[in-house]
Amino acid sequence: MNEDLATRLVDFDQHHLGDPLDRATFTLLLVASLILPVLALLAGWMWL
Amino acid sequence: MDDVAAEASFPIHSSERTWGPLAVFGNTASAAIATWCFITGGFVAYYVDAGPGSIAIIAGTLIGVFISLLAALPPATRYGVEAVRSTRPTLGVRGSWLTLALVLVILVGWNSVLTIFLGRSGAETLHALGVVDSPDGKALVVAIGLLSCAAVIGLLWKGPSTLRLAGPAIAITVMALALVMMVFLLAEFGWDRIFSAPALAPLPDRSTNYMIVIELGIAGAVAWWPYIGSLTRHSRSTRTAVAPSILGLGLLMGIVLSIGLFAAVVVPASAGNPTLFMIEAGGPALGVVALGFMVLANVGTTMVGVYACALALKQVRGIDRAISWRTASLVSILPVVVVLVLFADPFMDHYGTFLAFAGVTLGPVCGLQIVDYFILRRQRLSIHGLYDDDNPTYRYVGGFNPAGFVALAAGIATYLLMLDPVNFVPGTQAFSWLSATAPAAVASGLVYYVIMRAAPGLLRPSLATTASPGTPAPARATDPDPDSGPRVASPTS
Repeated sequence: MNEDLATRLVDFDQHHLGDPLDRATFTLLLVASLILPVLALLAGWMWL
Repeated sequence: MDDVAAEASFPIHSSERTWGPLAVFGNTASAAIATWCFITGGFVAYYVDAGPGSIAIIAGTLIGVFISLLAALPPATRYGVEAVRSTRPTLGVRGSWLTLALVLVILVGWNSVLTIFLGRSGAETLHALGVVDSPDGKALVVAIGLLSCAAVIGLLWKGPSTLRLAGPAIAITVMALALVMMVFLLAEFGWDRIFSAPALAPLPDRSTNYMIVIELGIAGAVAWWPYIGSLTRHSRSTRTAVAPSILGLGLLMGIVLSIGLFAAVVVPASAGNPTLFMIEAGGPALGVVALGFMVLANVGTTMVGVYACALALKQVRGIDRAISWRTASLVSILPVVVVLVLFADPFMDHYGTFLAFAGVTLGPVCGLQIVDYFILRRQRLSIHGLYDDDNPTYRYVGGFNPAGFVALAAGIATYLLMLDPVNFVPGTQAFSWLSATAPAAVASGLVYYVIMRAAPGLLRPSLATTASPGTPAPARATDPDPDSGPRVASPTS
């Protein structure tokens, strides 16, 4: 394995991890890109 | 940021990530907004008129963004890895070559579409402005395309760090130009005319027309999967990457798609591209706006596409060692140049098939990745398993995860059952209510979950192995590998 990569992997502890997807961010994603669009689609269907 | 890590597609440490929300927004918007929005917007006009059509295409795009963001963004921002690498847990160390091939074909395809479209519409615009005598000269189309390829390589020459500034600058300019185009359309034709114009060639069934437009939005946004992983791994955090990505890839793209739709319903001959009648109505000033939009939007998207392609290419260990970042960028743009010079017409004739290919394959890829990352692994991957080919964590059976391949096949079969992707003809009445990409993603995720649970021989080793033999595993309580350290709760649990 590439020496730089091996060192990088060994160093990759919790301090180098990014944050997980938390509940609040997931809720934002869910509402903004699934629930609201589905509601908009229902409104659009009425308009059709 | 450590450019070596970014260019060699090593995992980027969180402390090395420099992109804030503006950079994420700028690059996702820069990737999403291009003249393909006009092509797709023009396609929408065949099925539904402007009012419900704009709602359907914006909402469909956002739903597609939900699927692709949920699959690709969390592993990228948590582990600093790009999209192809993140499929090793689902398909296996060798199985991920399939996604590599898929991503290379899709990215080269998108970049070719953009370059050819820019060449053609650039030639038409220069003709309309009186700069050249004929818009049909192949040499001019090729010359404009080659110039755009050179501009892309020039932007990426100093490494991926250029994107952090170039992306937002291009995105902001393109948004301003798109606003001018939207205002022009509304001023020239008025709300009433745009919203009362009928669809150009709808099918008899209203709900099928509506769902075809939604499907176009979903499939188009799911095709962002390779871009999302490559871009958001530079983000400082998951939390600050989600909203800018929704805005950039979803909402803005949907709005520009609507410009294409509005243009097509009022001037059907435009096929969604408003630039030519903008020049006729507004003269050289609007012509410069149109030309500026086309050049910046397409160069910005191709820049991100070539970056993602070069990064995917460097996932192959031998290639990563053998070629530099600059060579990888050149190799990534080379097939685009070949298509532009030799196969532009046949390639563009099959644009719809190509778009369908992305939808058919990437929806299922997203489905099984979401189930694997959130439900089976609770947001915890083995960084050693992802990067060390000799590590047994994600080797499964000879380097392939059979569950992933069966699930992928189930997802693709579901898509084909719902919709003929070449002719856009529904295969079942259920399509009118469910679309095709969404059920394909759900089917692949479901099959993957059942097989992985039913065959503990597949799942357990990939949850319980640490560093590769010979690689000193970090003996810390905070080791990110799956068998040590606390699990992260799924946001849905």
